[in-house]
Amino acid sequence: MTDERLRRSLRVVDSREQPDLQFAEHLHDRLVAELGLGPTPKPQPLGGPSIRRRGRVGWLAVAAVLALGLFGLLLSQLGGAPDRSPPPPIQTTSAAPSAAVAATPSAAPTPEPSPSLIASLDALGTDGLVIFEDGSLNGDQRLHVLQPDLSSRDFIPDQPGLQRRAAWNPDGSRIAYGLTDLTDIRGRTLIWETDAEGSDPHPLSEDCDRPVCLEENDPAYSPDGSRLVFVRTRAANGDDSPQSLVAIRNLESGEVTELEATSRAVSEGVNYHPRWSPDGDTIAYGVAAMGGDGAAVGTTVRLVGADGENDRQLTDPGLEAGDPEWAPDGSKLLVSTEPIRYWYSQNRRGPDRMHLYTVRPDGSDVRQLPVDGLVGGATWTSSGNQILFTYVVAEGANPGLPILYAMDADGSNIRPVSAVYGRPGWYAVQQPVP
Amino acid sequence: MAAPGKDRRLELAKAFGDPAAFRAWYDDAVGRVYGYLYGRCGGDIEVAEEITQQTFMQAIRHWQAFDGRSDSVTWLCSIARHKLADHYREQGRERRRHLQLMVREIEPEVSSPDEAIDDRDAIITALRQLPDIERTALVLRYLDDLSVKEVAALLNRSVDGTDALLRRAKERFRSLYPEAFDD
Repeated sequence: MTDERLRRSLRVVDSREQPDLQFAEHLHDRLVAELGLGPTPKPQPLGGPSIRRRGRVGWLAVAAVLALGLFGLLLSQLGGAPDRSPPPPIQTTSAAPSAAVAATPSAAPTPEPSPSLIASLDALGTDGLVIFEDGSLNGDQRLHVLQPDLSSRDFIPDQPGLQRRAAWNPDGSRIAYGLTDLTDIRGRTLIWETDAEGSDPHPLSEDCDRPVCLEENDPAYSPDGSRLVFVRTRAANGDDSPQSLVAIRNLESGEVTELEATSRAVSEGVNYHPRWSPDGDTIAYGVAAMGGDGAAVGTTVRLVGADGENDRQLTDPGLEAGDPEWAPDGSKLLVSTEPIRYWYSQNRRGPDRMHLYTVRPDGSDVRQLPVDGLVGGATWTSSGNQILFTYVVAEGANPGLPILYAMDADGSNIRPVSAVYGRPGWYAVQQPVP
Repeated sequence: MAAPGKDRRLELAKAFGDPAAFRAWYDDAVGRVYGYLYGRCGGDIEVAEEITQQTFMQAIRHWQAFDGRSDSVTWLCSIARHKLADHYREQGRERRRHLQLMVREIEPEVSSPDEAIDDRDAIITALRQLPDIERTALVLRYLDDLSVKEVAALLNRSVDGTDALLRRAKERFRSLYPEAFDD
């Protein structure tokens, strides 16, 4: 019979054809990220045809990487994952030149060991708690609070899951953060809030449900504490075409306003790290742009009015700046170039451009802060007189170890504020003390 | 021996909650799903990879839809079939949501005659030369053994139109690979 012969012929295409190994591994990794399973086991050969090297990385992988901030991977890229053995004595730094340097990347002074400088929380000048994101090697990110002896403790020990991107409210009574619930089969990140003791965690993203709302992350309070700005991933047209946008939640009513001007297809760009200006009128946020092959091709900082109007670019794409943080007086923004998450997706170029800059809200007066090495995750202390940042040890026995540092707002007086014997830390935020 | 449906669901839930278990499940499944798609899209690697990705993403996001009546790879192949139809049909996905997934046990190890294996590349090449919609209709009808009505539903076409489409597809395929019609 003709049809039967046709069937038999076609059945030979039910093949044992194996996928490209690199594709299969990329897909595995993005599925693991989607499931929130954390570090992945070693890949096993799939066999099949010869390996092609086309390196396709879809939006899902990039979005997942950006959302999860895989510090362990970063660390491994930085020259080998540091072990848990005690690192060498604290590497402190000498005071740097007191003035910020001009915009052109220059030979910024390299921190030099200076045993006379002792890491101390007292050096921050205020009593506000310092919460930071633990970049532990297994990717099990948790929020930690620095202790007076420079050790740290789990900030919300009873809450399982991955905690990241903490932000204090203006009076220092509450803290918002992203939480990835690993017991959720979807493993997605939503925004939670707790009190200053970490004893009252409760969700703020209660109405973020599939299929329209996929994820919420990167919260920051408005200057008056009444609203929360964050990044939402939505799928208005189904899961296959998600969009990233900046949104604002009224904490009183729960109403969410999506700033449509910031909406972009995740396949083209991902928003992150939105921050209110001190006057509450403007929101700065980072955008990691995606190329056609799904890999990040650049990052910029943009500004948008809190009313959703006047979305515009702040930093030149060539600067590759992200993680904007407004100075307390609103006169400038602190940005990190090749910010951690972006850097990971851009790892073909390496981490040699992780620097700190300031820039005025009109885009002028771009200045590099005189701290060399691999630095990022910078925030202002609650007083606004100092900058907290992470310095990644590049050499020695513990390459890749991130340590919390501080410096004065002008780039001087560089010093560690967490012990290298403690936890590696990123994105430290200090509690405002009225 | 096939596990009961409940056990299959539990096994899948376990795989989706444990890195090592997921690795093992994925390593077994990805090649079978990709192999299922590869020939059906005429050996188009880009399409096969894209739909493989979509299939797994949908599976982990909507694993609760897995009822355990088939093994999980058969379930994945059912998803892949719909994704493939989605890929080629003109209309959007809305109507697809009303369709019932027809789960058919997929034989993971297809025993093909040697001569058929030798012809495989030629058949895939011939399939590749078909218009997308004709190729999809042909494989759904004669490879997945769906009825004309089911193919029509998947492709969002009328039964009569699908019947005509299948006739055209068969004729074109015959011109490209006449051996498939020689008794």
